[in-house]
Amino acid sequence: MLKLVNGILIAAMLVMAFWLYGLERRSREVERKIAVLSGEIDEQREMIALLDAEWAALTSPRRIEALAVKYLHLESLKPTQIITQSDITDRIPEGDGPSAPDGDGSPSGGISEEIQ
Amino acid sequence: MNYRAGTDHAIHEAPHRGAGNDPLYAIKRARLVLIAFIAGFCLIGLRLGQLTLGGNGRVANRPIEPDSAVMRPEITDRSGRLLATNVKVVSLYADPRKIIDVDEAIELLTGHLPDLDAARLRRALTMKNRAFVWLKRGISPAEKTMLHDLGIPGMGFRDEIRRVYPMGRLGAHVLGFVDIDLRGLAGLEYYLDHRGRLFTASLNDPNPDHHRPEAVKLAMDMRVQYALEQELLKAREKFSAAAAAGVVLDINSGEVIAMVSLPDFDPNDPTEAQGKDRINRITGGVYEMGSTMKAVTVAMALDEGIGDFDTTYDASRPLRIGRRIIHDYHGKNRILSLPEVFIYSSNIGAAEMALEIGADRQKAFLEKLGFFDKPRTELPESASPLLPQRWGEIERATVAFGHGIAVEPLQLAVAGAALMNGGMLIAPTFLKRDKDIAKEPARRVVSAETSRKLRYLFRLDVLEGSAKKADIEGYRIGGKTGTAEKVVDGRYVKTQRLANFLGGFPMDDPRYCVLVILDNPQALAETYEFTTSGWNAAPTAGRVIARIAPMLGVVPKFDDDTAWPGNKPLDRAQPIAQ
Repeated sequence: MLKLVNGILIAAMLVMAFWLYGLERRSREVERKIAVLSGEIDEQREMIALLDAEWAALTSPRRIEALAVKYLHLESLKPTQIITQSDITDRIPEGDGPSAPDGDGSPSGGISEEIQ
Repeated sequence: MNYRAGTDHAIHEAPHRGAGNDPLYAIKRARLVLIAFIAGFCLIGLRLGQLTLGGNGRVANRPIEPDSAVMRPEITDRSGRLLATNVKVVSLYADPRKIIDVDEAIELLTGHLPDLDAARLRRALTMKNRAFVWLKRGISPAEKTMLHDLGIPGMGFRDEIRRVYPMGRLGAHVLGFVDIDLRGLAGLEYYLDHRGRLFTASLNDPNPDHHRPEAVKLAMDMRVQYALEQELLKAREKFSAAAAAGVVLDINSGEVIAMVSLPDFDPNDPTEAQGKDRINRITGGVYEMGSTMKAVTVAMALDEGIGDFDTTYDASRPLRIGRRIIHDYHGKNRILSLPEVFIYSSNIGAAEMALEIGADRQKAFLEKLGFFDKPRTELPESASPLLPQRWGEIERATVAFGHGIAVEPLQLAVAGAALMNGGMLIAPTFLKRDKDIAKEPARRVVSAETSRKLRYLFRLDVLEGSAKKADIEGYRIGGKTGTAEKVVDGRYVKTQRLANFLGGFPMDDPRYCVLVILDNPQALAETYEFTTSGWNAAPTAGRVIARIAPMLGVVPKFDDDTAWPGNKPLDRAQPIAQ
């Protein structure tokens, strides 16, 4: 009885040892992979930080304004040009934009009603 | 047989010789030990498995420690646009002792990094007694790979973290700067290292990703900041002012939406910031603000109940106090109503209010509005107000029109915001703050009724008074101008002035407070040789508001001025429609 138990235990130990060895080998492999990946992640993060900084520099208002002055020839906004959504239909000039397709007389073709 | 007999004997004898010698009992005992061991190992195994596989929820729950080494967080504006970040840079160094062929090394280096100076490089590489010289700080990863592939002996790379401010000068005085070892030396960068250390640590802790702590969100809106900066630059140039400064404050939350002080500096190159003229004029210095303080005096008269819209003040002749005489700059030389004292900026009227109320109540009111304390914000740049030594009649009179008391411009803006927002004084902040949180430290300083009357007076000043040039149609701007004579060598100089304008918009439901300061603006033909605030600071503030109001979502209205009817200010004493 005792021999049987010992035998089973020794066998179990051997099986466990092999299993553990395999497990450890695999986990080392995975660890290596993790190290490589986290190194890559770090690299990518640094790259992202660099690109973020570059994006911020490229979209800084100073640069955008310089470009706008150079290429767009816009005038500054007047308060009278800001209107509410409900007034949009009154401001569309004749013959500009979509004409009333559903015949309700609204020059914007009911777009503002749809938005609302 | 003997053996059997012995065994029989043993078995037979067992009950008499005690349990200890019973072989069956020995087996039982061994089994017990065996079971105990198996159980023990199973327990250990289970716990090991649990620790390896299971989550360790409680371990992460450490207390926040302010001095734990945390990476400097990024700083963004209120909508997440990056203002300060860390960039890993590689720096190239050399060990001159190990360089074999100096000429070849120089040729290769200058060939691949054209901005390197060959003569300087030669000097560095021929210093044979040195083991370390920097060749170039901050090269890109691509350049590093390239140089690495050249395989020049004696060259090496070192990783460094550099603090970068991608927007350059924008918001420099709010952000501050760091030294070469990334320690904050000024502005919010200083705050993150010192008083705000716990705050900085908290950005890192709940975040499992330790590589990038959460960004610090400023109250600043970068677009508003830029607009303010540009308009102040233009104004400073136009009026040849020594300096210009401005601040935009959210009236309801106390957030500083924008703060500019010119001349400024580039935080990427902090040596520039050392200049004496580069101080932060909004929080780092105190100034006599002049007539803008009359808004405070009038608020005091209204709130303490010694004056109302129909109270009159005799400004028909200069006021004599002891040996001093108080004049009006824009003298009307007649009896003025309280609104007229405000919009014509009568020194005499304001002085009369202060004399009537008495020293104690005047001091208590000024203290309530925070003018007696050194203001505390996140910025380390802060200055204590300069108050009169004694509160005699003349001091009380001059304080009423903003002379003899020097305060931080931000203090005035915060007090102005309190007068406009319904009477609540809210401590200013440079960090993003919820409106609900702002309500907690808010303190009532004047009644809602006084605030309503002040809004009317601010609007009236822009419609009919000294601040007419600040008006931008549609945005219902209200405000008060102020021009103080500057003190040079302990004396007031008539030719040097500090012009400022304290305004808010839209006055029917104020949301933002704007303060613009021009230091010593010069007269122009266009301003009819005037150097008072109404001709320079007020129109500048108007232009600032015209630019920032659409960004801040203030909808222009063109029909509201019916709320301000009548021709004479006296006739307008009726309550205003909200």
